[in-house]
Amino acid sequence: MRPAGRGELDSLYFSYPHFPPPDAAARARTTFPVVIVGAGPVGLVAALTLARAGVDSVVVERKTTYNDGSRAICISRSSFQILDALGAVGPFLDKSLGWTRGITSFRGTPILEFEMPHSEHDKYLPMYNLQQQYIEQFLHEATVASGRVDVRWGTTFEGLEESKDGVTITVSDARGTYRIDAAWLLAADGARSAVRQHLGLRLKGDNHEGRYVIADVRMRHDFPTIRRALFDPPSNPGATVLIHRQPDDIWRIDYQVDAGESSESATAEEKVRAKVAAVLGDIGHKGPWELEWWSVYSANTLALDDYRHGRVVFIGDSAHIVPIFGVRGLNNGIADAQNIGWKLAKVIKGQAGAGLIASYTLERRGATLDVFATATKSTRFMTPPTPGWTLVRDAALSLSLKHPFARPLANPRQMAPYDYALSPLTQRDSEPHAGGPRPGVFAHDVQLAPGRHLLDGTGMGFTGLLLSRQPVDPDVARVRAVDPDFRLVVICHATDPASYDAVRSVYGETDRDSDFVLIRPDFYIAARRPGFDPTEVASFLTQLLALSYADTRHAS
Amino acid sequence: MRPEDFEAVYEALAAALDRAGTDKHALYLTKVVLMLANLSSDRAQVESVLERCLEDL
Repeated sequence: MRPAGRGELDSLYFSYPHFPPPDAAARARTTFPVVIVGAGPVGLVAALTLARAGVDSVVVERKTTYNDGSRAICISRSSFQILDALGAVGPFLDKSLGWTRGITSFRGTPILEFEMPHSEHDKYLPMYNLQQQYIEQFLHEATVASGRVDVRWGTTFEGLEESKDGVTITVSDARGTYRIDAAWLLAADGARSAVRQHLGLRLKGDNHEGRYVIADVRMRHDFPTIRRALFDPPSNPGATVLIHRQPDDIWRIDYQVDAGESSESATAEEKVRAKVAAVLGDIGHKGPWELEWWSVYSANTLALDDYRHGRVVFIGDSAHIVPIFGVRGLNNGIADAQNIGWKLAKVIKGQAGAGLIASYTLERRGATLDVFATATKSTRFMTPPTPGWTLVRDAALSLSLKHPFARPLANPRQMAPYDYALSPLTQRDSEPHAGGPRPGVFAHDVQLAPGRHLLDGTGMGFTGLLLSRQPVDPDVARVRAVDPDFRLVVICHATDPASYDAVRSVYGETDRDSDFVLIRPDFYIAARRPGFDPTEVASFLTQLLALSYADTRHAS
Repeated sequence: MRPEDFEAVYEALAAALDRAGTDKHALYLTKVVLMLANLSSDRAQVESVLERCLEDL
């Protein structure tokens, strides 16, 4: 919502482009390997992931421009890693504001400063703030540059018919109704997914009590990019307030809505202005400020039982809705998009069996349930659901003022990539491995030299990391026969001891002459082995990619 | 704890509750429990106390 007299897209700092629906020539093509419904960040990351792998897609989007407000503003390190692999990270780095710290205060007194996990080996900071419309703009520009993504704006999903080999969707635009055929449909159409409703599928889970108003103001305010959480502040007794800095002198203020107040009343302009003014008083801002945009949200934990329905796969908010504390909505959606993107590309190119797609729900729904567990804890702290929860929360905050033992309770438990240890795509260690990231975790980056990182170049096919004391010249042809994009990175002690030692310090020491780590296209570690055995790796990849038992032409 | 020490704690708690004020009893007692729990470092013992004190309310 915006102040009276300004339209939905009358932003103080962002000029919304208008993208007309395609003309007759531009919509002539009606058959694609993949159709994606929704041009939000999740749909566009999916399209880009497919494009990088050489697979065309069409994206249909009801709106004719980017998101009307800043909404999802925190992008995690793992998402930046994904944007890097997609060749799209440049404008994000230029525009966003990176951060590593948070400050929590209680009744005006700081009680906790936290530093997010961060090492000198990481190429990216733990978190970056950037308004959602910029996220969408940069991703859209990357899809245009790829030449493999056909984004059709002003195009509404009307319905779909499924067959054994694909889907036919009906869409409408200003010129009328037409059909698009695709082998697969990715539903990236958000919390109120029209695709999900069309299929009669329902999200299941809990609606939590707490509601928040999120309001953006423009002001000159001298404070670094640090997440501030104010519990029970003088301006808003009993409530919780979050403050984030965004580019363009925009500041995000989230504050809790009083339990008895309706969302309509809480979002009235005068009410929002009064609340924001009080919060600005709390943080000592005395200069002028302008109200830019606001919205309201509630803290739900809802998900589909199965993210896949035949040839339709749900990604992002269409599959799951998570509370925003911990910034997992956007980042998990991006991880969904990349997960299904590389798998679908392999299936479509005949480099994997359709069985590979089954692992998508297992891995990404697992990630959602994990988020529910941590987010439910955060939510209970931020917006306690009962008098009992409120009392222990207040007691913990009160103790935190002077007693460090109580402070970790107030830690916001920020986004961390989910562990795929139990995924069928993850192989257990065959030999003991001291330290380092285990199979199933998001691979750790290592700085090999200033500006040069271990994971640079990862993200197309599988990457083998071979740590060897002596020079080796392994034969990768056997592995490339299974994954043509397979890349072997050899780090040799004899020729580059500095890099070798750096990688060993992160990936663990062993007394063996060599160690091999297999990294998936989405950076997760699939397996670790003592040494590189091309036959074994080829055999493992054959099994992982479901090539031995699935028929790629007839997915069930 | 010797009976005379335990009685001293009993009296100190009564006095502290009155100093906290009636409207702060719940908050005060919850802080006391969390702090004693931290000192005890025995999760099972604390959880057992939480259960047993629900009896005969």
